[in-house]
Amino acid sequence: MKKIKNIAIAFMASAALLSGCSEDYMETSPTDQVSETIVSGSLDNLYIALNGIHRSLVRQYLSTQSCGGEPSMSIYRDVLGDDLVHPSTGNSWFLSDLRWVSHRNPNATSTKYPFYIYYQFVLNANLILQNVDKVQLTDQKLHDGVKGEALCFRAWSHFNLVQLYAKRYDPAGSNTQLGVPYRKEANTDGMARNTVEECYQFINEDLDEAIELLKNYTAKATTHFSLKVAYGLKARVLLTMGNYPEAAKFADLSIKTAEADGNKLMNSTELMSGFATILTDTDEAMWAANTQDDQTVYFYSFYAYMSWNFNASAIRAVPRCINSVLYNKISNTDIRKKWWDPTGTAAVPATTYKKYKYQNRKFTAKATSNSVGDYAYMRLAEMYLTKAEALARSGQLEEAQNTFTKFAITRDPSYVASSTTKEQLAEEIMIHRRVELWGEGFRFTDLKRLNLPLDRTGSNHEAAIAIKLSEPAGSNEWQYMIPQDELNANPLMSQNE
Amino acid sequence: MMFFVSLFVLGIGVITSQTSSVSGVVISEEDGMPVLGATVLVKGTTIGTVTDTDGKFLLRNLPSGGAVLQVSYVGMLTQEVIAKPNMRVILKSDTKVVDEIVVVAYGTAKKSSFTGSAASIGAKDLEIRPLTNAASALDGAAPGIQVAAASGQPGASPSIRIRGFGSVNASNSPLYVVDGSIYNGEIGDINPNDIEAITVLKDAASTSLYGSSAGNGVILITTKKAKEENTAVNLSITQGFSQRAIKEYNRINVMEYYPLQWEQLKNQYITANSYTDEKAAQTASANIFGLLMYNPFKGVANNEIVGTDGKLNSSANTLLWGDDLDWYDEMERTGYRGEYNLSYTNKTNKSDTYVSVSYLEDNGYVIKSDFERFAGRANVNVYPVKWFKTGLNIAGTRTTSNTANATDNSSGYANPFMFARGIGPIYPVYLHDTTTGEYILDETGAKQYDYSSVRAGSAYSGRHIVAETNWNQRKYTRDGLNARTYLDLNLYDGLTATINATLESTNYRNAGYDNKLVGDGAPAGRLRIESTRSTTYTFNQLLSYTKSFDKHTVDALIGHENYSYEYQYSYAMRQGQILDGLYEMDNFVTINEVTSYTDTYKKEGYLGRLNYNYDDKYYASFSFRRDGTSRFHKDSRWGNFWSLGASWRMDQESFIKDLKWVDQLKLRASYGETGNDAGIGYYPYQTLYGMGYNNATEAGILFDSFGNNNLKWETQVSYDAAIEFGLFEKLTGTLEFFNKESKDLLFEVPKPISSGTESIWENIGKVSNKGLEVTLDYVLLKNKDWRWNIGLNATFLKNEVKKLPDGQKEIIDGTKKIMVGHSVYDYWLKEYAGVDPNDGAALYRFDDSVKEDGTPVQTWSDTDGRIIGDEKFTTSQAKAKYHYAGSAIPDVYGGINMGVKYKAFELSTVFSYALGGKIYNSSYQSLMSVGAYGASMHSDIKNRWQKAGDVTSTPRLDGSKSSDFNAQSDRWLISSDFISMKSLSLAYNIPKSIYNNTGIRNARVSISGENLFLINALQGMDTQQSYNGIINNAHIPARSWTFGLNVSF
Repeated sequence: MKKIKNIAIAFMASAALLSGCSEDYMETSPTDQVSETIVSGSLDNLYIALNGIHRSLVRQYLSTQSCGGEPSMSIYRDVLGDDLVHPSTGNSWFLSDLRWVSHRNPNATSTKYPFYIYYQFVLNANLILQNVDKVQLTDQKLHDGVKGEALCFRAWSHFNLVQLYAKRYDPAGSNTQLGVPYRKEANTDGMARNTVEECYQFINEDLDEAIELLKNYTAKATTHFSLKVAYGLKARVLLTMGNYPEAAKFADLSIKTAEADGNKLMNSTELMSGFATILTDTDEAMWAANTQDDQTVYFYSFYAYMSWNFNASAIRAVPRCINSVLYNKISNTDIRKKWWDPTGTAAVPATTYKKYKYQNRKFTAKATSNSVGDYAYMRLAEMYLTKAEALARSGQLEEAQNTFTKFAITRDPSYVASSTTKEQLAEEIMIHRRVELWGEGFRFTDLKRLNLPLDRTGSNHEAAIAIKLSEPAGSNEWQYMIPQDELNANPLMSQNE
Repeated sequence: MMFFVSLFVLGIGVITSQTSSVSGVVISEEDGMPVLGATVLVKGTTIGTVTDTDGKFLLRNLPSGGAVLQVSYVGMLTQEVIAKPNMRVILKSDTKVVDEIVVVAYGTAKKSSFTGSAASIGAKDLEIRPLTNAASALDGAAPGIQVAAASGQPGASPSIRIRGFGSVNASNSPLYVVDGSIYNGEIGDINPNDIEAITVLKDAASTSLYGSSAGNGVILITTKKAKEENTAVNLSITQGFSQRAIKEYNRINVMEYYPLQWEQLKNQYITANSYTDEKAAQTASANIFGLLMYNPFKGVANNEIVGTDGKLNSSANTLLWGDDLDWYDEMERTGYRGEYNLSYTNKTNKSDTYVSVSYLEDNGYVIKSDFERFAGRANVNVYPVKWFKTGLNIAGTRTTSNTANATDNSSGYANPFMFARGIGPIYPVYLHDTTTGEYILDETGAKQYDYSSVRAGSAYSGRHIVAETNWNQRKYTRDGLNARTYLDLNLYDGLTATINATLESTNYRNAGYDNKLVGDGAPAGRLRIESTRSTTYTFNQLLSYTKSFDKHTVDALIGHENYSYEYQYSYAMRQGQILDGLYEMDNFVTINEVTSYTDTYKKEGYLGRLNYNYDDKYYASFSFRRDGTSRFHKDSRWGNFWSLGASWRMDQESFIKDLKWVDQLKLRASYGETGNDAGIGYYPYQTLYGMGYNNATEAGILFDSFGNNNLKWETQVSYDAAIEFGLFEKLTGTLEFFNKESKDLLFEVPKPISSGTESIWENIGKVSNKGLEVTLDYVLLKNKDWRWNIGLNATFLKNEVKKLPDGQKEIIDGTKKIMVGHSVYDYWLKEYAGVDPNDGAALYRFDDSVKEDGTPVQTWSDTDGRIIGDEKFTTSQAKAKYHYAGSAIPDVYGGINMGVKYKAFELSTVFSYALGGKIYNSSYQSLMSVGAYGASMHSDIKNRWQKAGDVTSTPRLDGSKSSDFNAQSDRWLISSDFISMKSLSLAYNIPKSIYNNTGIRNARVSISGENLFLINALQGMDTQQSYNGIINNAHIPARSWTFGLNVSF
């Protein structure tokens, strides 16, 4: 008996000893995440991190259906304008933005969302930028590409922010009004707002540096920034700053680089291909999201709101329409006249789809059950329009008309130049810009940069639905409120009026 | 059949001269019933037996000559009687408090010697209540325990807080320990009938041996084992039904609705579009139907529903679908609950066995919400020799549950409560002919859900909660295995070594199908399958030593523990359903998502405890534990936790013993430190990138979170002092003061959104939870037939932030602002100042504060500024001033319980209550909102401002003012005072005479109700929904009535 007892004791003692833990017993790591130290360890890994930012342009944020990355931002920027019409209140997404309510509420998702996504892009870009010159230089071209793209992200993000949250850049002013914090470092400190002038200065500096770097880089796909896109961004920025001669110059560089790269304006068939397949069916996209079928975008997809055929209640109840006043300005021979149905009788996928006059046919989902689609952030048409507008506004009428005609005949084969003054031509170009880029997120910032009022009167905008029918140019309402969450956590931040 | 068990409990083998035998019966004085299991011992010897089920005993082989028998039973006074034939021994109950055994960390203790603070719920309290989840029994049961009631989803767990809120962002949930090992499984997987006791350890003295995990208190669950030397079988069956426990909010009905919506549109035209009153009225009459899209009135043209006078058309008196407007009616049913339990026990002097099997079916009152549980447990212990003991306690469960469509508190469209509550009162559930009102039937003649027509956007157009709930599937299956084994070796006199090993494993599969006709799955149909496997190993080695000499008793414990938790997750989703009715991946065309990951969490600890007792009067206890965790960086991983406790049993002192009116008196106090690392993710110190962000087909990763290498244990420093007393054989109670201070709070510190990240985990500041706990139990009546007692417990709690990190003045977190001197749940909200009687605009106090540089934060503008008296207000919510507007934490909360026993009847009831807190009611906020055409409205909207001079606090109805009138402010705070009857049960012990000679030992029938009523400030409000005070459209708890039958053989 005693012996058994001793054996038992020996057994227990050894069990107790064996259970003493080794040094790394408590070293655990996630299996679906990687450490920052690994990411910042090589150029190749930084490139992978760069890809993540591109992908994050098309993902859902804030668990909100209307927050599907940059394509959703395009919708937000257009519902604030005059050209996108909600024919009913049968679905509430974007409705309070259409009414100019949400972007003025510091607690609304609408005010938080742009801040939230663009600064995430900035942080990710800064994390790359703070390491790209430290890692081993295994490939100079790759280094320049990664750095150039990251700079593009930083510039483009801040550019979007400053247009929404600050008073417009006034080409005639000193622009000391508050812009947004221009973040160049990856930290979590509070930061005060830079002036609008400073923001634009930094944006331009980043873009200039990016342009130099990207000259040495060939992007693998349209999903990346490349030299033509950097030129294009620079043109956008200069246009917003009212620096028309320079804007025209960079738009021209962008067009030339793009066309050398194989980009072409869409032809009449391609124009009707519905945009969800713009990468495969056309050569017009210069920078675009190429979402794969297994990268589901559910109901936060652009095409879940802006197509006419996807089976979502937002589309069945509120097929998006074009402002009738604008529509009626489109020439009858313009192919794009078919982008909308003025009669409200065109066929819909099922009887549950409501029909309204001027309803959209521009954007078509791949199928009623598939909202995944390409989305172009920049396409060649914009560059032509930018160049033409910039030339016109800077008084170079003939060149402006030539550029514009080159574009216009692809849309309206019977196009004949008719404008005789700078103002007429600029206005004509603007109408084409509104038509061409309808739904693509340019209208609100165009109105703001040109200091124009919002005027929805006399159109198919209904007072009961849109509530806001007009807003004078330059009022406080044109600025997004700074999100309350930012004010709460950043003592240096100040709110807009 | 008759069981007759007569076993020598003690001292087997004492053989003396054998001359006589004696038999008898032991009866309880209190109820005249036989006492089962009483010990009958021959005084001065070790010969003895226990009574059988009829209270009878037989002692053979008695030493000759007038032996004295000692008859004893727990809770009764021991009697000494002279042995004689056919004895009748009557035992009086012991009026002094029984010296209960309480389960404590790594062992048990006598309640009298226990220096810590614990509250206990026994099997008896649990047996009689039809609880699917045993944790619900804690509501109102003891002071210091706060409960956010479980939702109405069958099987749902309540959330429990012990002594306030020690943490802000890290977990505030107590540690669950089942049979000595940390339990990560679902409490709903434990059959409440298997539970012997639930003990809640509250102070550091009792919890600190669990060290790092114990900061939020510990809930010990001890399962049953065979107690009596006997073989017995117990069968219980309960049958019940359930319904919704809380009435719906009062809402505007179909006849009132249209004019109100009209008024909202008319005022909108005036405000936003500057229409004249007349034009606004005309346009509103013409257009209101266009916004609401449904006309429920027969024979009334769409543009004539509301006249330009704002009144409902007088011919609008016949409803087209008046019988089809109640969405709740289609969502709810009478729930059914059936439970069957069979257990058997067997105990010998070398082993004991407890086995139970049970089946539970609980169908909730919401369609597609149910819970089915098969549970089995075997607890076997053997002790063949004195120095060796081992055993296995193994439980297996299979749970299957449909969870309706809702996730709690979700604002998703698939939340039945949000949908049925929020949809305007004019929309029918089924499809109708809009002229005749007739149902439009399908080809089979069945009614069809109205999901295809377009409703107003705020009436959830394109969605249909009844159809979606019926056609979708949300079904999980969970298998739980919990096995504990141990080896107990008595090495030397008083020295015992123990090895405990526990394996706990939960396998979970959740399949979600969204139909292709309506809802999130439309139009393709989609299927999600989530599988998780969690495994916990706990392995500890303990060495304990007990020694008594003179009046001193010392016991000591040292040990080491390893703990490892692994969570494996995999998820797949496909869409594009091929065939109807098949819910497997192959029936869906496109892969949407396939992911998997494994999380690992490990801890290691060294522990020790020393207890000292002098003369059963003075007690002291010291414990220490050192813990490491994988959640922190290796340089800040280890933490030391310890406690000191002492108690003085004053009633053992001679000067108290003489006081007849004092039955019990004890003073105790403790101090200690415990830790917390839960609820912060598994790798908060690491800066991480997430995988799976591929750019088209190129590999991509994305920044996820900043880590913090300096992160360390959150530590709770607790003081506790108490007096326990029993007086006049009537009143017992405890008065207890506690102060729990959490330092190095784990806080997810919000960062500027402009930094690109929302928050970082940091150790910040200090929070204290100070309080007073009172427990009183008074026996109102006690005699042969009656026993009537009433108990009250109350916890007065003050939560206060004591310190924030240097340089940090405040942290604003949603509706709360954390600042020194305020609680963690103090509301920080815009100050609502009522309504301007001139135009009905909502007024807020104007924010006139200035920035550091002296410039005003807000510019005063006469367009939105109003000066009333000499105070400044604004109609623009963006310019409103924030202020502290009260706390979500009640000043006092607790329970009231009552027990009445009359002969064979027993009645018991439990109430819980809270006073002095506030709720931010976002459901009410939605119902009172303007601007949401088609949404339902609260009846309080009738108090709105309508014409100049109206004095009210409800602004005018104006669709253009949604931002200003609906804004988050203290307008939506409502008192959270409540009293709720949690349970009422009545049991009747069927007299033995009825089932004599059937072999039945006991039979009892009972009826029991749960959640019987609630009194609070606003009908519809589920006051106990959350601790932070924000409540919304969660699954309302169930009220149930259950009938039970319990028979033992």
